Amino acid sequence: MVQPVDEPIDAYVIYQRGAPHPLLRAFRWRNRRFEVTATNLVYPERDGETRFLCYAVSSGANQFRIRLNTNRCQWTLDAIELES
Amino acid sequence: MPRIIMHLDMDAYFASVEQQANPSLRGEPIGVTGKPHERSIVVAVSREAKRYGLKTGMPIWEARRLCPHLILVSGSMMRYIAVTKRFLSVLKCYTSVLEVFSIDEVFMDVTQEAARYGGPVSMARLIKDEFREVLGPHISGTIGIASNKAFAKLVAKRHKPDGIGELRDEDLPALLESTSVGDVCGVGHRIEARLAKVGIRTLADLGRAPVEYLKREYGVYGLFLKEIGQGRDPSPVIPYTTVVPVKSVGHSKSLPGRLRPFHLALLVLRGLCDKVGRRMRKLGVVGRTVYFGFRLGALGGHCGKQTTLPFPTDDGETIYEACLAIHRTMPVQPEAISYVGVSVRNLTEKASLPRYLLEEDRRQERLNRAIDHIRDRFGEGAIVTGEALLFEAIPEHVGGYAQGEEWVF
Repeated sequence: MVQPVDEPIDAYVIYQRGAPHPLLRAFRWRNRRFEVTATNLVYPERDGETRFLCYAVSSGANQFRIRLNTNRCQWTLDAIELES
Repeated sequence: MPRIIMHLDMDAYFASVEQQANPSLRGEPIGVTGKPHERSIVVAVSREAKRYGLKTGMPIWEARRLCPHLILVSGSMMRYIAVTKRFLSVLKCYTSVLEVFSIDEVFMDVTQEAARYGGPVSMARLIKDEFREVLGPHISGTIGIASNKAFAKLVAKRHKPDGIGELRDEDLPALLESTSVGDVCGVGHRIEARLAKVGIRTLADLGRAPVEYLKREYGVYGLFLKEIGQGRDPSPVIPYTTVVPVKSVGHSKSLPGRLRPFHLALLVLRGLCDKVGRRMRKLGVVGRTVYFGFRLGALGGHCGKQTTLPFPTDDGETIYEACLAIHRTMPVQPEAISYVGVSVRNLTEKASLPRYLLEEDRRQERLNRAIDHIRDRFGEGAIVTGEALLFEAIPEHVGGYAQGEEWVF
């Protein structure tokens, strides 16, 4: 089950040479830091003219969907995936 | 020198991508669907769900009956396209003779390259290892290796999931004896039933059948059947770099129950004509022959007819009007249809034609150009016809015809 959040976050990212996209290492949401333990999938999305890069990541047992607005370079916690 | 053809078929593709994206779905029976709360179908099922007898294309109610704890997941085409682009970029490093057969199937001619990797099987292993690294551990594919496309595909099908299969020359006779005609790609149920009536059930039977008989009954297709029956398929792997000339541009849609009344189906047709026009403009072609077809009721027969326009067009509205004109001349005036399709043939390159003389035609061309520009920049749904807005009257859970984005690999 997906619980929408849609809140801005601080992202800790590495722009690694040769990598197809920025590597998300950690993020801060509601004053709590979450280390990204696995990046499960990265895929593009678009909403009108705005293009996003979506990260499906794990932080321990939790799953998060994070979006990078590539037009504005803003990171947003899109949703938390809860076990059904 | 015999060819070495590989066929890569991703395993339970859409479901695997969803399981890769969301670890909580791993090991669970999941079904990917457009809209999970709708009386819809599952477009893909996970390996775990397949154990319950679930199959692609099964209605959700039936899938739930077979597997009550099935988890339904809304699919995202963008996700699947992104993963496909990623695995294609891996394959392009191995060979340039690569044919994208569908979003999750690829043919590769590795005759020249296989020896460099220690043979086709070790090359296939390397590809699969790289897939694990690039795509993630839960997205896998099966690779079939043979001397032609039809048998590479057949071998891949028999080694699913996550396998590698090679058809050696000495194994071919046994495979021909044990394989039903219908198992080969390109032989449908109807042909299979027709062949069964004359006692042709396996590929070996097909290979023994007189070529004159097959040619008389099936025409040129009979020659293809004969070749398949003897373990051959001369069709080449068409590299993705080859520009194949377009013969027709068309779209069709099976209609959900609420869109079956003819006046609502016409709204869908309007949208389909718009998509056809848009694709033609992207391809830079115009066409004169418009085909309009539909299926009567839920299980009725198919009706279709074509007309040739006085001038070639790439305009959705003109195509729609041609469809309406075709419909008026049809003997059947249905109240409800379950499928609608439109295509334009007799194509010419637009650049080879003179420019429009009439201001009205030029205005329509400018309008289409502006619409295309808006859609390129803001997405397909950014600007739609007035008729398409009527879809808002249709409940949200009913699938729309205009959801899909075009994709080119």
